[in-house]
Amino acid sequence: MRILLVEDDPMIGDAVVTALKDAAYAVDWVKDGPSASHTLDIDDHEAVLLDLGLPGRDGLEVLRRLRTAGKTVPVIVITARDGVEDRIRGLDLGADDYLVKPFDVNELLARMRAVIRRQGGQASPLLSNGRVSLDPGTHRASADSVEVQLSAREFALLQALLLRPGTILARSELEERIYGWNEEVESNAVDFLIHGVRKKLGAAVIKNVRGAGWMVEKSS
Amino acid sequence: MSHSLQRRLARKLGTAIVVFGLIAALTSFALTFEEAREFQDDMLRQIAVLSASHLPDTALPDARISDPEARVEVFHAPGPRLPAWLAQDLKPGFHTLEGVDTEMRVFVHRTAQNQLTMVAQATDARDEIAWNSALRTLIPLVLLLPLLTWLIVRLLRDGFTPVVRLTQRLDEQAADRPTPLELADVPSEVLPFVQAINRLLARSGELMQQQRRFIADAAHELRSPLTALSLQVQNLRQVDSPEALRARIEPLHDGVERARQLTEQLLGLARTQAGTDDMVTIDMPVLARQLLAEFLPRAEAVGIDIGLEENARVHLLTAPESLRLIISNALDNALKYTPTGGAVTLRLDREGNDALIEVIDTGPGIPGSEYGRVFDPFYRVPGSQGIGSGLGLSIAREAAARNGGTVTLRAGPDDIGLVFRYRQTI
Repeated sequence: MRILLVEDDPMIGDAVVTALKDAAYAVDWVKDGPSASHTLDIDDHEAVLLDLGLPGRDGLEVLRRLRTAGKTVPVIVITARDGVEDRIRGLDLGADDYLVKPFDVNELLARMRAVIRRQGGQASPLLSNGRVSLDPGTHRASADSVEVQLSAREFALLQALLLRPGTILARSELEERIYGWNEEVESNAVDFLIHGVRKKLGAAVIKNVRGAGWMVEKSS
Repeated sequence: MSHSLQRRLARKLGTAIVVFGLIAALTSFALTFEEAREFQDDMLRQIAVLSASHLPDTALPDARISDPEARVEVFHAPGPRLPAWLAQDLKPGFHTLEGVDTEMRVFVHRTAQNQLTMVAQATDARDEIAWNSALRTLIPLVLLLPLLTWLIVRLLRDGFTPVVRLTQRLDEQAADRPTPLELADVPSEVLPFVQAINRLLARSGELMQQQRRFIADAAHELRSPLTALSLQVQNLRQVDSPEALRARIEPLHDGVERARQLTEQLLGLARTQAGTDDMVTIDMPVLARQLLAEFLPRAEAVGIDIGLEENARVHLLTAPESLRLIISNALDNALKYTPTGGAVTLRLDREGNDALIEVIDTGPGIPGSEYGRVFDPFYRVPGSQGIGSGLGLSIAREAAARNGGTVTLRAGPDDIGLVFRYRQTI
């Protein structure tokens, strides 16, 4: 799952990137308003963490442009501006959530799971296609009465597939959702992860379509 | 002596009215008294003339006519019943004689037949009448005095009402957001005073605004290192291997260092603003060497050549802590932004009566359009690399102002780097 982090403070940005990677997110990080707008124009992310006090263009302006362009990607504003009016403005401009600095990492992760879940039209915290279900909070997956703990990357892979059951995802699409910009991806990394998940949950859980990619079945 | 203008005016006006009122009363009393006596003398004369003209040709056996109320008695001479105290040979005109048991005022009139008509009246009766009529003239004055006093107090109080109202309005003001006073019904005598107060209110309002902005900025700015720290600590929890842990302790250490620097700077700014530093004569070359020695380890660690250029030996009367703060903030900035392999130079010079202390670096410099804003608290040039609070230059400016000096920025030679200059009159 790929996240865009917009944060100008290098120290905070570094720490957030580390925390998100620990939680199996692929993170892209930009440090100013114009690059944030530019990245949002050309790239697809599952969620955006947006600081407001940005050089070049204020975060609220970035948000306004994003929504004006009709993009629905979930946005969580993370800022030191704690005034009620700031929060109201942020939410009214199309933010999905608002988190005031300093915040707890676990709270940030929980809120991210919540906005991403709602984006997929789901109310339940569990991702499921009827056969496989995945808990984004604990990274535990179950299929056919087997319950296992997935590694961070395995989780990211299965999550990417379960968010679009019935859709074939190409290798490049999966890589994009599992790895951030600066991460080196081994050519067989995706195969390796698929193998790991199949070993834990059973081979039938993930279907391979030769030459096209992988998918999980749509719930019947 | 009372400090109340109103009471002072009331007392002075009251005293003047009482004193002049008393003088007026005494004068009027004396004049009326004198006039009443003259009037009575005239009366005696008229009685005498009238009585003589009605005198029968044959002298009455009893020539005495008297009126007990006015105590006026008329005698004719020669006549049988002249009292002993009334001599026969009195000259015509007024006389004051000793009577039987009281002093008498007598008018003597000689008729054409060489007869004498004498009209006498007891002086105490006359005096009583004169006294009474003189007293009556005092009544309006006596009534007027308290009335005037009351009026003065009342008018003065009315006159001072606008001032009292202004005081109330000042008292009712909230100290944290002073608003100017209305000038509409302010008397012209106190108008300049009230205008001066309004100017003062405006100035302190502005200062208050500045302080509020500073506190808001400081609160905002304190959150950043705190956010970083809290994230860095939580990141520690996610790893189990000692190597990974060590890798994550490094940023945590930087985070603590950043929080420490911000705290120091905020305290430094507060201390500078409090201005408790005493003026001392500083031997600049000595201070420069001390500061360079302090910064040398850091410069060596990042591979920057730090040095001194001494063009004048300057002694400066200044607040030593403030001066240190100015130069170390400049050196700190220079070391922070100058890349490895660059140079930072502390330059001491003199221009006329001014001492010049410059910190020259070979870093990326600052666009000229930002020179004004970088001195604002917490302002950072967009895209600034490295960790900073945006307080350094604003502390330097504050400290410079305390010393009566100025700080300015300009581009370095050949447009490379930045020159920070502190200028103070020797």
